[in-house]
Amino acid sequence: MNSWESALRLLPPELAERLGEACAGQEDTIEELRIRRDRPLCLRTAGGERTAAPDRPVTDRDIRYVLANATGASFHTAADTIRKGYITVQGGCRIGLCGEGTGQNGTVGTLRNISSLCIRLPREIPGCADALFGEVWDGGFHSTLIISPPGGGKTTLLRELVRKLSGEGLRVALADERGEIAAMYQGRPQFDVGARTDVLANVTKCQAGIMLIRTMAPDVLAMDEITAAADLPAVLEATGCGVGLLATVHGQDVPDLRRKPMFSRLLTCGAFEKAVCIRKNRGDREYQVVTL
Amino acid sequence: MLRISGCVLVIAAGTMFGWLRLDGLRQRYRALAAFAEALRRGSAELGTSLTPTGELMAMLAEGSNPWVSRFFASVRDDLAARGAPCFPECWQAAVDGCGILEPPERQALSALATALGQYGAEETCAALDRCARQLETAGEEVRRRMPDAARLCLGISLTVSALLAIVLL
Repeated sequence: MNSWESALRLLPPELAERLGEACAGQEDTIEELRIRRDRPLCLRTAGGERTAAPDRPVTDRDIRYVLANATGASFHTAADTIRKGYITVQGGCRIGLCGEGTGQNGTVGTLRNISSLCIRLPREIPGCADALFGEVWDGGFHSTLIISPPGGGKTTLLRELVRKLSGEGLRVALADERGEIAAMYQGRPQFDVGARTDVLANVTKCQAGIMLIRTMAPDVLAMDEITAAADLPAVLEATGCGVGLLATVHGQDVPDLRRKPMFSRLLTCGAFEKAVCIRKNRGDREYQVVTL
Repeated sequence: MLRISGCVLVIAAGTMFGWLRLDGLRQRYRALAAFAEALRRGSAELGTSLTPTGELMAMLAEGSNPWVSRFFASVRDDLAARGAPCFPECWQAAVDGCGILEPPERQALSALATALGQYGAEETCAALDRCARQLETAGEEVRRRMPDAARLCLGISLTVSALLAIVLL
């Protein structure tokens, strides 16, 4: 099941039908669905945003229907990720959640009164890394950091690079904290991440990285979105063990990262040899490879 | 000779009737005990592995007691056909279709329709354990009544069949 079909199945039948009609023939261009209470469905493509079914605002019942489908009537299974603000479903879609947080002493217990959902539709784009692959792999792998703003295509590029490195005979260990890269479902990756790739899903990046380094003897450790200082120990352990690194980070470019203390440390610790900066140009993506 | 044969058959029929009534009670006791055991197993599985609801139903459908197995298989199949948002209706339909349950036991199981899949693991396990205790208590009550029920059933059926036999003779 692809991500579009997976997203349609989450919706109440009436909304799914209206959405299908509004997007007929353009399904491959949809990057996100935004579901907000009392507002019409909103779609985001590379070209911008538009609404679908403007005369049919989303109701509270619709949101509960989507959540029941997304959790498979199993709140207990999804409780941990809901606390972090998302749910990952079959097909690799990640649903971001907004509502009212509950909890004590500064920790989030759960989210209630969910008022909006953001369904991200991931896609495999085989070949998207072909133009730059020669710069990160020339018989040996050069640890690479992929940089772009949110929605820039970092995860898609990361997935393709993982697949290609695996195809070159490298043992790749993938720390897939939010289940977006391999989209594991009942033990099977729903995206092609390569025959020599081992996936550890739904574990924090730092823990997963250290576990993978110590137990799976990888040639390359791959992870998505280094965002916090807590992610650094895995990066440093990989560097110390001689394990190659492939990771992504939010940012505009290398100078932008150098201005941020945590990320400047990432660049100066010697963990990465190359950086790939992704830019959007009229709906297309351009990749610039920089030697660090 | 024919009348004696008739009497024997009438007495045998009466005995069989009483025995069947008693066997029904035994089946009820076994079913209630099996339901309680299944719910406890579900609670342990969910508490340990956070097993999704659909998988849990499939796992519990593999039980050996036919009433329990049919119940969870019905929920599993209905859930697969109608989708996760309809889980409370799927569960309630299985409760309503389980002929061996009496109203208090149906009520206890019906309460799980709004608890399963709606709350965290701790709360869901507590609801499953609570229902298991209620069904266990009901099962123990059935078992406690069985000796008296046996005497009553067999006594009445033998008495009625003996009277019929006398009338026949």
